[in-house]
Amino acid sequence: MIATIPSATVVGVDGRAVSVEVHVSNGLPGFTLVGQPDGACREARDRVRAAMLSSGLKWPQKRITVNLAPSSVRKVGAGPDLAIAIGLLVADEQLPLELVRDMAFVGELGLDGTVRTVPGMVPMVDSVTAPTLVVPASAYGEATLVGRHLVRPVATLAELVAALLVEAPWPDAPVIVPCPAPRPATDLADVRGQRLARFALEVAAAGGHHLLLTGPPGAGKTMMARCLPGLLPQLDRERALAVTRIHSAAGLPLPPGRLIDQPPFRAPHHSASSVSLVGGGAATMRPGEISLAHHGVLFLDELGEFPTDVLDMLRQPLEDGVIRVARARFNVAFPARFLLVGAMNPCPCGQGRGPAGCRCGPAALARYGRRLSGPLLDRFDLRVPVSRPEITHLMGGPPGESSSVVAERVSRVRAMAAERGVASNAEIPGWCLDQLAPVSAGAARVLERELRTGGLSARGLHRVRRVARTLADLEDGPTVLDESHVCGALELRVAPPVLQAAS
Amino acid sequence: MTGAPQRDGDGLPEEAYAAAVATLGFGATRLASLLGEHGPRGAWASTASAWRESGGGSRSGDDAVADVWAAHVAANVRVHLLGSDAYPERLAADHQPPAVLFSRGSLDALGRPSVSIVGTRRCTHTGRQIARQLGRELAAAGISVVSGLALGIDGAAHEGALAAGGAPPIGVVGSGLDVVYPRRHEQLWTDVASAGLLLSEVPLGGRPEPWRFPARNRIIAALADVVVVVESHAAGGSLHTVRAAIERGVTVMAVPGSVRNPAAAGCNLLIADGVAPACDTEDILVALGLATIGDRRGAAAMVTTSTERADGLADLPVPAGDDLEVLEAVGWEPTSFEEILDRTGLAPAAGALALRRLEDQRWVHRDAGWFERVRR
Repeated sequence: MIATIPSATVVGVDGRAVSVEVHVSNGLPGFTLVGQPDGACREARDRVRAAMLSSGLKWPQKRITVNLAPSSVRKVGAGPDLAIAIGLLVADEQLPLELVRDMAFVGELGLDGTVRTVPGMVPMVDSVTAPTLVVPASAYGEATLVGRHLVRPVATLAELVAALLVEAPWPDAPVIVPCPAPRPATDLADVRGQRLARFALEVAAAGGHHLLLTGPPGAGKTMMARCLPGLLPQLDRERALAVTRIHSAAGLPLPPGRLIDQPPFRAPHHSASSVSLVGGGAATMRPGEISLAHHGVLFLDELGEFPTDVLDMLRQPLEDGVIRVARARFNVAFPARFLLVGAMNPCPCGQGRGPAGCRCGPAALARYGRRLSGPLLDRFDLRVPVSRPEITHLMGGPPGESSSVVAERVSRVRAMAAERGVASNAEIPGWCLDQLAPVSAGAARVLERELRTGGLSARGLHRVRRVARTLADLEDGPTVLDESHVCGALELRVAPPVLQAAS
Repeated sequence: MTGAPQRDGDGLPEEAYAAAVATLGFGATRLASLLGEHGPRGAWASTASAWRESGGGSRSGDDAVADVWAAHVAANVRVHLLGSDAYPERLAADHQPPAVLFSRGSLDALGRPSVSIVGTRRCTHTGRQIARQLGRELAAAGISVVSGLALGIDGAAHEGALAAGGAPPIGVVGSGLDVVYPRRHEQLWTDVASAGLLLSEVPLGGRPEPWRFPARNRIIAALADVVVVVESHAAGGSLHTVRAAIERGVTVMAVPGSVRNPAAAGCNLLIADGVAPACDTEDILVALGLATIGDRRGAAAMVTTSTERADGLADLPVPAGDDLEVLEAVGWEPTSFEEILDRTGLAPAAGALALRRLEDQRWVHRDAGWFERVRR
């Protein structure tokens, strides 16, 4: 007899519905698993057999064929274990088919029959169309986040079979206490002084512009970058679900009982490999750091220490908001629309106080400057020097505005962008700029001269206009950008001296 | 080529042998004693074995000397042997004269009163401006400007001297006269050589090794009547030149700078140690004995210059409103955008606009994110 049980697998960060077809017939006893299972999935046979036997169920001494359809999709991980076990029971007529109608099963089986969770529960659940879904009890919180299904948590296979046979009630759902929304670790009020950098953070958050902070060690670059998630607007449900799906697919712990609705903040170390940054992998396709920073902030501290080839991989996702990773057997698009914040020392000695202040020779400076490719530098709309805070500011100067005050202005600017049909001003398409960010005659003259003297590339011109749009929006300014907005945008874009020397 | 040594009856001149011995890479003392004891021909004969060991190959010694000599003729470089008539008198009188000196250009440049302008490579815009102005005004007053052709202050002084078209400039370099260093100053080398004189004690092909520069600095000091330091860090290389000048009894002057300018720290320390401040060209002329204190026009001269009037800048409107406030916030030393915002309390966009206007009217100079006020 044949049984078809819905389940799911995960490809990249997307769930794919999988039909587990189990055929049991007379013949030489044996078990065949087909349909592009990966290593972990292929081992399902041994797990399912042991789990069934130790749960007091009968393993059919017959010819068993299991097909994971559609066979074009590679099945990753042990998620279909539970569906295979149920399919076997149905096909072997130990369990009537009508009892599992409209039910999908996702979970890994232990040899003793326990049901375990697998990474990517959120995207998998999202892809399931059956109205009822059986999941591991430990994954109940994740599985209910999608909110479309009747979710049945089970701890063991025996418990599941008993419930299906109506010999026992369904196990109670574990009580999930939703944790309160996590507060960002740092508040902008803790940043003393630093007028320009504070302003740059506000502009970056309001317009979604990438930000490069240069300053000596100890100036507070990292602390300021950590303030950014607190300035960005909370994620709406759709985005929160997208972010949660990615984090779930990466197997990261999720906050209990809630979607990730705060913009994520990811800060990979500069020794990170290119695969860990952009995603991929030989056996499984895991999202990289840039996808984990989707709708949030990707902070690269010590930007100059990252290998140049790793940095240059950021260029395409920075333009497209998505990273396409192609491998022999996979071709996956990971979402990666993040706000990039880089931090670096102004020069190898790290001091860089003024044109005559540092100890680095011209050759050392040029070497340091070459570590950051021009095309990547061009994508930083805001390049701001951060100086060491003055002692008077540190010791009891007046606290600056708090994150919540600034976030208010940020969300107002974001709302204006939404009225224009984009998520942020940084995403205004080039061909819309004349309509959405028109410039006054004086401002056009400033831009023209900057283009003429070579201080601005064609892409840079678009980027300056987008930043100028954000500056005007922050002032509740006019539709037409005037000279001050353009000059302000240009001033926030001055390349740090070390990078000027290199170009 | 005037004054170029000709081949005498025996074939190659003494200078050719001296240049050949110099290319063997002896230290200055060894070279001087070799040439002094044996004479150029003798010195070459006694070192010819060293020449072969150093990879000279199987060519006979005299062929090698001929090659070296041909290279000098081709590069238009003359060789001056200590003790010969063609050796500059001023250096011959020094207590550490180079045993062999190489030159390009005209030795006539050495006959005038001369001032060395030295300073740091990592200078501020103001420093470069001051060096350029001093160079221009001194050259116009008929005084040869001696400097090292390095980046920063040195180069700016020579640029100024060349622009004035007055007295011929003198450049003393730390590499072979055919090895341009720094590469960025290739044009300046050519210009100084054609308008004045280039000197070096390093043989052709000599790399600009770091240890050569302190030795080069003693020649700069020896050639000068007055050494003027325009911007030096507290432990800068210019202080080598100062030390060499003091040893030789040459007057040292320093251009005072802001106490917050790290590139002026060396100058200010010198002044604290009793070196005379050089606030403008008149001060230097007074030190040279070419002007009296009564001639001084006052320090204001350093800032408002004749070029400003020539460029029509004097006719531009005086800043007002935000512009004036920002101009007052921009100091005479490098100031960051953030400091300007802090001092004025202006919004970044308004501050940026005012700065751009001031930059257009050349009140303010921008250098890699730092602003300096450049006129009053």
